[in-house]
Amino acid sequence: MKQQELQLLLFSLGNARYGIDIEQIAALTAANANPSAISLAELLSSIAFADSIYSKQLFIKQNLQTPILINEPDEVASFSIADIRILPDILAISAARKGVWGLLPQGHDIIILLDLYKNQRFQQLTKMSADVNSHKQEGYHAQQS
Amino acid sequence: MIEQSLKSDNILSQIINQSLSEKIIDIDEERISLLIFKLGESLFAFYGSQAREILPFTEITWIPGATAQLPGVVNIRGDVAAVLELTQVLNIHRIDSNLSGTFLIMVRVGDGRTGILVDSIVDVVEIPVSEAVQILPTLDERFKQFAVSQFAYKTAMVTILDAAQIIEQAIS
Repeated sequence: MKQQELQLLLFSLGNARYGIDIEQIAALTAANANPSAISLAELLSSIAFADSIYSKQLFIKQNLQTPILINEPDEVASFSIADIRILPDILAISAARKGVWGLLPQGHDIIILLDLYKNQRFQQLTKMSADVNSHKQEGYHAQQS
Repeated sequence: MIEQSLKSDNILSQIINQSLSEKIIDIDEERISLLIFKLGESLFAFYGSQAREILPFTEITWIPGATAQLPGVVNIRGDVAAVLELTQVLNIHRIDSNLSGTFLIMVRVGDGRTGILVDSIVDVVEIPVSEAVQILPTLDERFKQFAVSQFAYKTAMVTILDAAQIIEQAIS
């Protein structure tokens, strides 16, 4: 069955508004001094906001070991799939590497849709977490035997 | 009595014929429509067939992966178009860093629509094809890569740029 709507968690970084499919989110908690956390600015290579102070951390289902630091979310809202616009060809490749998969015009603004599973930096971190877990398990099994 | 035509009539007739033949040449010669714009101190033009719309400056939304040449996207009546900063592509210093007085020339290349940021719109003209001359050897090296030809406009030379080539360069 064709999907008609998408529920997005909306939040801002600087002047830009971002939306993440809530199905990717495992949890949203207050930010703490988690050394493995990474800021959204770092994931998006947005140097201008590298020193931002974040109030929340977002746990993505694919990689619970690497929470993503974000600002206070604006809201969770439903949007029609028909309103989503694909990226202009000229920007598609570079933006896709950062996990941008679509744009949602809203009035005069544009919400940037992020798929963190497609973000190259997050993919690397996910792979590293998986490797660490696999080594831990190998060590555990070696101890057991 | 044989009527002799007056010399003045002959001359007039000659002038009229000459003028008619010139008109015929004008009508027959293919004309091109050009949109002239200013960037820094230079005048450039895009073919009318490439430039579809002119918009006053619209707020640019930065998106991850954007670059100095491609600073983001704009929302145009609920649709989204990429923005290309032509000063960056042509390596021109923008006199006024405030973009609010600039314009976006909307260009369609292939399936994509791109807004090319320019300082000001100067004119829309139609010229006979023969008036577009080969690019002069004195043309700035920065512009030669994208220049198709040049033509005289008032007291200045205007360089016609190929929008498709500029966009290809920005992608690469």
